[in-house]
Amino acid sequence: MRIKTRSQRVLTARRNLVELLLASHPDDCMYCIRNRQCILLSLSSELGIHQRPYRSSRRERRWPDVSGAGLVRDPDKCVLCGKCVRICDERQSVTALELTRRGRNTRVATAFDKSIAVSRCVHCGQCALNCPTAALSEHSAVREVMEAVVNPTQAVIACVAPAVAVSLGEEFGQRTGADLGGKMVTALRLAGFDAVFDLAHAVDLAVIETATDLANRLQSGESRPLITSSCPASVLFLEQFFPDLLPSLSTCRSPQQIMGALVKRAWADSRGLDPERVTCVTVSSCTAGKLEAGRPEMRQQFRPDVDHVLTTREIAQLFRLCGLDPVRLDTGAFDQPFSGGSSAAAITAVSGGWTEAVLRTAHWLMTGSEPRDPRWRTVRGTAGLRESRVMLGNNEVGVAAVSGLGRVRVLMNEIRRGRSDLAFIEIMACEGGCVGGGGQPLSSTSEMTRSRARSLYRLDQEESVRFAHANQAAMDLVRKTREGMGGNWNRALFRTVYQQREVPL
Amino acid sequence: VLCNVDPADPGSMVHRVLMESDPHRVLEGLLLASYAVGATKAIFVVPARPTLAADRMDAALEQARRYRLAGSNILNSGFGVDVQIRPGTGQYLAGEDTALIHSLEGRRGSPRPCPPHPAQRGLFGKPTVIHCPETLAAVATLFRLDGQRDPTAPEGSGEIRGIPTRIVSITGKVRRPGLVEVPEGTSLRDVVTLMAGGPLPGTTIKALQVGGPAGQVVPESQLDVFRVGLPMGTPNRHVGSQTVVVLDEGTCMVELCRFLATFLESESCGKCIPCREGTHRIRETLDAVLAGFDEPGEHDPLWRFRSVMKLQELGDVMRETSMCNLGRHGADVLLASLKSFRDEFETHVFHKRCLAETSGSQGATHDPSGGQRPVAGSPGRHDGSVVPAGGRGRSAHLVSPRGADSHGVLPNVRRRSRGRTGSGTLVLCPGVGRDAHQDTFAARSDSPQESRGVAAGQSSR
Repeated sequence: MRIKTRSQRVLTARRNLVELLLASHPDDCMYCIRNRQCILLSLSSELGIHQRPYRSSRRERRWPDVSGAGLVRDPDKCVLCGKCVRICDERQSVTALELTRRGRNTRVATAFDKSIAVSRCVHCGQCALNCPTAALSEHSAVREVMEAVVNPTQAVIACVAPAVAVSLGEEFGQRTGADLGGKMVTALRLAGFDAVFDLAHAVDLAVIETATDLANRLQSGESRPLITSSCPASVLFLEQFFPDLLPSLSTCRSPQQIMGALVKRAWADSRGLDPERVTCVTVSSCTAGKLEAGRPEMRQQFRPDVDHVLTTREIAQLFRLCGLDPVRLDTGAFDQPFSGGSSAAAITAVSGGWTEAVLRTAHWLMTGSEPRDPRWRTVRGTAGLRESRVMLGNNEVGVAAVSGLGRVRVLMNEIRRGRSDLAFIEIMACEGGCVGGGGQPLSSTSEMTRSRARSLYRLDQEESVRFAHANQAAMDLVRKTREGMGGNWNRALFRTVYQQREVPL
Repeated sequence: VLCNVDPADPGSMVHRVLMESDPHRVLEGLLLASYAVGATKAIFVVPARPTLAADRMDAALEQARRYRLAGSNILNSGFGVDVQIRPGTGQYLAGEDTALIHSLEGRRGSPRPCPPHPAQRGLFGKPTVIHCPETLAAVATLFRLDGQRDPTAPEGSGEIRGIPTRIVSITGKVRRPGLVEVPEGTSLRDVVTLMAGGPLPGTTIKALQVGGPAGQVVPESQLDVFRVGLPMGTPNRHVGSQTVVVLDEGTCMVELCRFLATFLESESCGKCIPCREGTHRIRETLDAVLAGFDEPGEHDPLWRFRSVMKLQELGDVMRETSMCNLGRHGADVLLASLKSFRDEFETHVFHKRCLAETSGSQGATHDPSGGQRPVAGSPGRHDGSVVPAGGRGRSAHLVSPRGADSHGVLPNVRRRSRGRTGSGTLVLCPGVGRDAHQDTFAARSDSPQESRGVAAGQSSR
């Protein structure tokens, strides 16, 4: 069969369909957050639509729903393609979004058409990543961050996650997976950030804590599996849909919140800085992190540990605002004392990376020696769920790494039904892990996600410090907190609590 | 096996009359069909509110169960089929195969692309065969004929004795509106002139609107060409033909198109772009045409010309790109009218007046508001008050063509073709023609009971 994709019939049909979409679409492209990146706009330009074929329906503009900490919904911009609904339902199994009403009144809406803040949305951001228009987008914090940056009385700290380093290049015309880590540090300094810390440092701390938990569980004969708590969207997912499994969830904070607590509660104090005058900004690929930063247990005296979270898309916008092209800059180094992490921390941005990093350190904790080859190939790969049995000392341990909330749900249901052969489960809300995060450059494909992951594994291959516990500064910090030495340096910096959450439907 | 009776509610008398008068035959057909395909479950989808048809089907099923003709191990044959009666959603689109399946599964009643066809993956993922009551009744009749060959048929053609009959509902400007059972192949002219008694006194037939809102318009000149139950024209233009609305010279075709477009706009599921946006823009453009383009900026003749040219293009695109038959045939009436009655459109667009007004013996008058905010029930007004905006609270004068033929495999023994949404529906267009609201049911004095029931059922919705 021959299918013609450029016949007159096809072209007429395509042009007419886009004309129909445009006729019901608001004409405020210049005010649109997706300006320059809109698929509808590029379609209309490709098809050469330069005239209005229909009377513009003068529909009153509705305000977007900005109640969500991580995501903004602007239903007026929606072209009803239904991608968000399918991703939310089929891939993420959250079903926060659904098509309601019918005909021309069809709309994408949350349960009872209430705001996104009270919906069951976990803010993973996969819908925004795939939305062709600006109907779904991240809740931008660029303006707030810039206000803090230009404020001379505020010390603004940027903490950069490894997943951003390998995806930022795409926003500046680099090939997918290009490592811009060092250049980004320079760009952040030039943009006016007072200090740039490596979030990998906090990842190392979290890995050490989690590995300790795992070793303790194995030694105490605890039957429940240990579930990682590094992914804020997954934590919210468990709190909402699997509250009975919360005791299995590691009480370790996510790296972002460990870093925030360290900076605000301990580092500022040791530097003689008023925490009020310190603004902690995380740069990550996560939209759920925006929500996590606002959680009440992540605050001290009404002061959030992390003030703002910028996604990859937002930091690229901030650089453009400042006229910076990180590609052309020199490589810079992170600031002390959180200047660097092990390469085990870097690969945690990939699904399976957490498992690998934790296994490396747990092996050392349980046997006293490091494995000859630090790679655990069985937990790597592109499948959404990878289970394997690994040897930790004398124990054979079942581990699973799962990404995508739909698969997380399947596995959690198995655990709920009494499955007990797994001792360690890594859950990631976004397919492929943080490299496929909801805050990554728009229209990211799974191929791009894999490419970023390969880049991080290559980094791991070239790095000399490949174990979280080999990060000397991190180990010192862990010892310091365990022994309760020195004022604010205590274990509360690393730990958090969870609670069941009631959500509509 | 699914049997969709839901369209048998007010809109489609054809199914309803069958279910009310001979439920056993439909049930027998359903059982035979289940046996043929090896189905263990069969479902009648009936209107959600109590109707006589559903009651009778219930009773028939109860009787069949009592005599062990339905249920497990029918007549000790080892074959069993569980027949259920389920309420439908009453949605027009739930007549489409996949939309019906979705609504039965409790999902949105919107269609999905085929393949996989329902026969491959249907209700709850199981292979599903969907037929309308008329087909099933015909199956039962066939078995009663017991395969006797038609002596007059050519050797080897396999034709079976007796000519299948179809039920046709005729409404509009005829002397005797109602339901008639005719042999397949009867021409529409015979149906209208012989069965329905021809046009009302003092009027002449201008065209027929057949097959419901997503059906077709047949101009008077082609009445002999179109025959009941047989496919006519190109595959895109086939005619459901079970409902016939007779239009006289006083009927404005633009108004008719607008009325049907309004209905389709309110019944579109909103899934695919051409149908969701296309039906809306067609209705909008026709509104503007009928209002005489009185919005600011619309007086420009070039704009007017373009907007009507766009109608043609839009109709073609809907036909090419829609996912289901609602959108695919949604513009058929418009396209056929544009072809056969172009002069009426042109007079409306360029002279801002209605040809039907002058040609009819008693002129139809256009409401100056163009039906945007119609005054319901003002007799003699050509006011388009048939379906107020939003599609709710329809006037009791309108027998809404709600249900659609479940699938449209016509009960034709020699041919099995995939059918269309919209056949088997009956529509009265009070906005069409002069003395609009008086003749809807009052004229049907031959079946007052039925019409009252219909009107009551409609207004209670």
